Amino acid sequence: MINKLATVLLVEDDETHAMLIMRSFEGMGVERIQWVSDGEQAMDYLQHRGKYTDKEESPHPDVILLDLRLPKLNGHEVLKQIKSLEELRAIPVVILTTSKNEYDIAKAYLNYANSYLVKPLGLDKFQEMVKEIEVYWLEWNQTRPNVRINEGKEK
Amino acid sequence: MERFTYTVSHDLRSPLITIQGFLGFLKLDLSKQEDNKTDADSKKINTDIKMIEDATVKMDALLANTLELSRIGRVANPPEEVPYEDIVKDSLAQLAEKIRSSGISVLVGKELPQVYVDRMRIMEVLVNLIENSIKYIGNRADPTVEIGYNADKEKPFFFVRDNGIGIDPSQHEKVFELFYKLDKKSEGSGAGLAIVKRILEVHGGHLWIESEEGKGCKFCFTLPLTGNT
Repeated sequence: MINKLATVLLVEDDETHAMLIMRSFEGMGVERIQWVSDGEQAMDYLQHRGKYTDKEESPHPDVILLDLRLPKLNGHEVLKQIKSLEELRAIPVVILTTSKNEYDIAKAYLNYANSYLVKPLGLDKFQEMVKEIEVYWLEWNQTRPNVRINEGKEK
Repeated sequence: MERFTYTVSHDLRSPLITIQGFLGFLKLDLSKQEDNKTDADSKKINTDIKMIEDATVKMDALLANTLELSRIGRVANPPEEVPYEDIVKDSLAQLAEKIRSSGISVLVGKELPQVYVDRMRIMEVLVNLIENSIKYIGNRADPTVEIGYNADKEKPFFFVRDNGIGIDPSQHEKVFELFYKLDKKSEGSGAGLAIVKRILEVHGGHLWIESEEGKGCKFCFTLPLTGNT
């Protein structure tokens, strides 16, 4: 069942790729795609700074789709910042890039990327990939609940 | 070379994804029965075609720039002794229309030295740097580009300075990367500064930026001077 209320934060500097991704999500009924086009905007969105202070208009994402080659802060830098911040690190970050470079892949996992996907050629494969993202991350995956765990008192 | 391969594999693949993706959408949008087509469907078809067209133009520019970058150093004119002032004049003549329409004032410093360079390539450097200044001049009331030479310091250098929007220090290295664009909506493929850097490296010089966001930008570089070669 499509999770219509889920929010996807898409960090993508190529407008045409962003359109491909958003149109594919919309075709499946996922409507809340928040698109930002550089790394600085992504961090502003996630930390509710600048034009993203309204938490209703800029809701906490259920998954982040992150390109690597971005202006200002690149994708690796954004990923590193997200995973270093306690309030953000539980958000799944899926790297979505054209790069198959081993260095990029290794570096992304070193910085705790949750998944690494290479954009495929052809609309059929592209839509299939977006569908898999939707099913896994927005339907099957359980996001972190808002409860505090005191590890010291658990035992 | 590794960096070059990385960039090419990443950036040249990008328009292909756009082309194939929108060809797929175009097929879908065209497959709707003619009499069921709405205005919105027709608009989508036009968008699909435009995206494909734009991506092929982008691909062409990326390939041309990649080729150009690979030629620097491999295909070169023999170096010659030439007054730097002459190269400046030629560059400004080439950009005359652009400078006029942008309303920018160009100041050229005095006492410019003789250099020992591939004249056409160094003209390419200046043209690129001046064009870059014009592109990022912002909304200044007194837009100005200054072309000069600093002979006072221990290590003399040439410069192109503007009073435009400037570049944050965190971006100073990144702007020289092939196809890197600070502003994706700006003109060009983002290869200009990579080409400039490569030309200067082939001449044994180097290039750096002195700039802060909002405070203009100064591109500095060294070149072989006559008598030093």
